[in-house]
Amino acid sequence: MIWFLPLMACVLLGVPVAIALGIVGFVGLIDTLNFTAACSQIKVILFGATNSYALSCVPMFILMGELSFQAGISTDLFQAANKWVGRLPGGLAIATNFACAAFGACSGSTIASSSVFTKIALPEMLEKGYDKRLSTGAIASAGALACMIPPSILMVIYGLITSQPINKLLVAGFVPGLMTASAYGFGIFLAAKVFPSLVPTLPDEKISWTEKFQSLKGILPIVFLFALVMGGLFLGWFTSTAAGAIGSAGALFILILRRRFTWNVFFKTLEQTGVLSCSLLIIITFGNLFSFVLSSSGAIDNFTAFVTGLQISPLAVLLMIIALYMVIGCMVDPVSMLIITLPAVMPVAEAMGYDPIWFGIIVITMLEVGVITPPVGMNAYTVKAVAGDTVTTGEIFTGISYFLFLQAIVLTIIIAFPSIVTFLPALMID
Amino acid sequence: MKSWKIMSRLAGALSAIGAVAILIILVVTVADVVMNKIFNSPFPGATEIITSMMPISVFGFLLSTQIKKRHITIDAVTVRLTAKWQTFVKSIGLGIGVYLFGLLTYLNIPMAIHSFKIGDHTGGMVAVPLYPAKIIIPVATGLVAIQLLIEFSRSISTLLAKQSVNSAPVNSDDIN
Repeated sequence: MIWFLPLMACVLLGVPVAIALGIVGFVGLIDTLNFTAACSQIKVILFGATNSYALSCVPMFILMGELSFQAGISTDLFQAANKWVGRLPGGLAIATNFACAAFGACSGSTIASSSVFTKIALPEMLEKGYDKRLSTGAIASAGALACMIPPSILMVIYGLITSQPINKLLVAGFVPGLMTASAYGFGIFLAAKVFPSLVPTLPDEKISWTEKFQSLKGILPIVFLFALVMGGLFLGWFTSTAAGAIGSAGALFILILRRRFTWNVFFKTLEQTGVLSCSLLIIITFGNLFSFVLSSSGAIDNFTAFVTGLQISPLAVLLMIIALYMVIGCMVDPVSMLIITLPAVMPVAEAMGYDPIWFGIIVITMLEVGVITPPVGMNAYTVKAVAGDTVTTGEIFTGISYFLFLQAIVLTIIIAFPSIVTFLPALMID
Repeated sequence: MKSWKIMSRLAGALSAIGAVAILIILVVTVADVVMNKIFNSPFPGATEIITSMMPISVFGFLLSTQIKKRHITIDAVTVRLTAKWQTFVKSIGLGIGVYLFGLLTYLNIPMAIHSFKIGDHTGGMVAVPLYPAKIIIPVATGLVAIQLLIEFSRSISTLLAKQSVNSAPVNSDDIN
């Protein structure tokens, strides 16, 4: 496990994660084998790791997210959610939470969700008298749900690293994602009831059922697309790559339908997709090298034997893993965290007898926590960057702390009742 | 400035190749699903085409990702350092990158040449050529190594310039 130290040192000193994994992996190979054998190994890793059908779902899901983002569904989602729950205490914040979660599902990006809804919803919430901490906390936390709600890129990466079926993982994330979004919504409602000063008084205007149903018109295509992708995965119609490609084709169709398609937008979207895919897949490629070093040096076997030899309960080990992810999540971004930790953590999880799909949901939940906790807390800084001087970083993190508490409750429920996660994948048709 | 322009153009050209690869993956996958569901006959060689396009889609964007500074980097610690130390630490990272990508290029060039010479392709029903993917790898890593070298030399000159400023005697302009 000694190779984790130089790797973490490189990563924390700002060396790009891919380069850090590559160089530490290479030095590890020299140490385990010899220079010539190490060169033979890294020579084939670039082609060997990327020449893979399984990896092709990554650019496809990213393309689907980028095209959905360009289709401009965020405003429609926000307006529809506001029409349906806006009359509840804290309604605007609840609407933002659900719209943000739904947008996260389409875009797959926590940063895009937080940034878009800070632009759309925050000015309206502040204007109506919502507490800054509650408003920004809701946006940053709901934005993080993109990690969990399918199709989540992090879930795909977890599947690729651990060789778990990606379609099952994506389907498994649906219920926990919905549970977390509902917990956040209920939490806002409760906060508004207990501390009425956090939210403005309810507006007098009533929204008719006709208006409510009319508001759904704008989001129907995207609901249909989501249902097609998830339904296709669930019913075994598509592989994960096919689901991503069908989703991308559908999102492109919606873009054309909404008259937002231009060749410039399309090429820009392709470029964004390529750059983002490359930054993720190159880490996975060099991550393979690092994993190879860990397994060939016997480090993983030794670590697993050490943990199982501690004679502590699987629950205690799980709590230790959660604590580990909380600490690392404060410093390292979600993708790097998955690639650095999973080669060592997954064999322990298997030795403890955890269901790998359920364990994946626990890990992804911890990544959700990682994107909203300081000092890295990317979502909080995204909200701050877009909101500017209207809110301080301290206020955002104070708001987030309430949602972290709600997230902890959801996590406890998932740990106590694993079937919440596993029942849906079990019903899937292979 | 000139080197930046050349590298940007090369990145644009490679990205265009990568974008075409992504489009091919999209079109072939959708065609495969449609043909499978409607005509009960899969797109011939779909898996082989998609698989062989993946290295092109990744390495086609490698230089762009470097130029746009989109490689995932953790700056939680480095942002707390002084500007001089930040440049120093960055230089080390860039130096490591030059070595790694330089070595990868050196090792992959013979593989690419060999693959081209023998007309390397997939086995099975449809023979999809593999040499384009094997050629783009050393091209991309080589260009990234050059880009990293350019950034490394700039970083070192910034570091040296800062050192000479720091060691210069304080004059009235500095105080003002």
